[in-house]
Amino acid sequence: MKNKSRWFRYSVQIFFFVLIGMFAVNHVLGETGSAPFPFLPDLSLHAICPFGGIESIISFISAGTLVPKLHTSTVVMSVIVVVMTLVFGSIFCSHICPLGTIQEWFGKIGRKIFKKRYNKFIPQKVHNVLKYFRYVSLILTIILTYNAMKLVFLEVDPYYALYHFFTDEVTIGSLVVLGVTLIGSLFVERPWCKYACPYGAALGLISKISIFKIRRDKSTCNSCTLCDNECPMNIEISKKDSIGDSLCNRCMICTEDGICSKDSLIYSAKKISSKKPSVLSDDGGLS
Amino acid sequence: MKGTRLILAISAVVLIFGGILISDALGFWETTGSKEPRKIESGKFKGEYDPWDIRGSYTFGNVEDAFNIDSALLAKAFGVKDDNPYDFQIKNLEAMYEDAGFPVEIGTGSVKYFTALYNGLPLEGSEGLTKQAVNILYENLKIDELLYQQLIATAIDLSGTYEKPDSEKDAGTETDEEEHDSATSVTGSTTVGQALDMGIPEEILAEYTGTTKDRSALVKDLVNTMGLSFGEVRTTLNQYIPAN
Repeated sequence: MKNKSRWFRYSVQIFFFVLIGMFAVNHVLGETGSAPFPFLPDLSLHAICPFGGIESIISFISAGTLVPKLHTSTVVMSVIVVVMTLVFGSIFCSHICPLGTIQEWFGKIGRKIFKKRYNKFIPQKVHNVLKYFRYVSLILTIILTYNAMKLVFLEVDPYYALYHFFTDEVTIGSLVVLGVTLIGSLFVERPWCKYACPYGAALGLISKISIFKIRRDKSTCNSCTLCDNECPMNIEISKKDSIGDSLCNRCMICTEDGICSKDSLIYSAKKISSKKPSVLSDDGGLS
Repeated sequence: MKGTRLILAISAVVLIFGGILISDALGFWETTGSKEPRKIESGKFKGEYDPWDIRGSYTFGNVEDAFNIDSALLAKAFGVKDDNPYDFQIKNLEAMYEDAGFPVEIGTGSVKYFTALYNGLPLEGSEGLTKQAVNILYENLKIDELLYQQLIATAIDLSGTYEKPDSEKDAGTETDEEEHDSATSVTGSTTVGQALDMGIPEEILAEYTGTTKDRSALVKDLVNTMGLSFGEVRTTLNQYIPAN
């Protein structure tokens, strides 16, 4: 029954995946006067991409203007996601990002093929090095945006390719990256998120200071490493007091019933001490 | 922890849509660009709008507002036959001329180049120009004889004007082409006083601006304050200017 509550997250993922797809199709076909969803506003993906907001802020600082194709709505989206991350952690990645969602879907196929070997192909030591590449990706994007004043990331952006693969707007580079990401997802959970996503890197850093974190009660934990094995992001949860790892996207799998037999993992605002911690309780309030 | 997962799922949706609604109410939710080019950061022209930041999504009106070049003049330079050139989107030039077989492209780059030459701003290369555009530059003393000869040799002769593609046409009918220069037509920089001096009846002007008391106020600002489209209003106002 442990998977049942995952459907809260899955439902949100499906909702945003479909909604953003409808916006993309509407916008592309709308240019030829045949928008299939006239009840939706005409929005380009550039207008609602929160990562575009970061690029916008960078370009505004460097040149006093937004990057071409980007609008203030991207800055708004960015602010919303930052606030969301400061409170809850990177739930944008686990609940909203369509690229994360489709990687998970491919991952389910991979899990069926490789069973327990899935997501274990990359040794932990190698993973611990590779995970820093997304910071390289973030820094490169910032520097190039600052200098070039255009959407440099668009050339290799798998998110844009995902929704524009049928148009001539998409670049070969982004299609290749999308293809590699999806194929990689058959072997590794969310490879783009773990090793390349500049936005995930930025949100990961912010989530380190988020109010709510997953915390481990050392007094009850017997370090069985079941949680480590279940973590899609390959975080060694059993070695930490609180999961401040920037890769943790708050998918909450490790806190599910049946994963930790001791209930040692709690999503909480306060550090676990001898006193009872404040947690987001089932009735929705802080307890 | 089931409740926690439900709270997180709901929070994700509520924060996204709640944030958008709040920002929309506060006027921050803009899904289209500002239509204002960046400014030149250094050198002799520091603080001037950069013509090389003009984008295809801009209209001739946006260029007029930033660079004080009459949109009717831009339309003439690029062969656009449109009764409302102020609202003509620059990227449509590419579509207009894509099948013309010109050796150089007439498009957004051309408008950037023309604007830079017209206002004597720094050049970042050269782009295709029309003979009409080069002649306008020369007649308005924006380029010297030598540059004129260089530009005219490679410029595209449009041999008349081109109409907007059908998909871009407004519902209205096309009127007889009537050209005004910036001194005898309402533009983005026209004040109330100038508009009255042009012969536009005060009651007509007031209908679109709300007031004519402040002669130094820009017509465009007042029209925008009334929530009207300046592009449409100026076309109407120009019809009230007596022909000489």
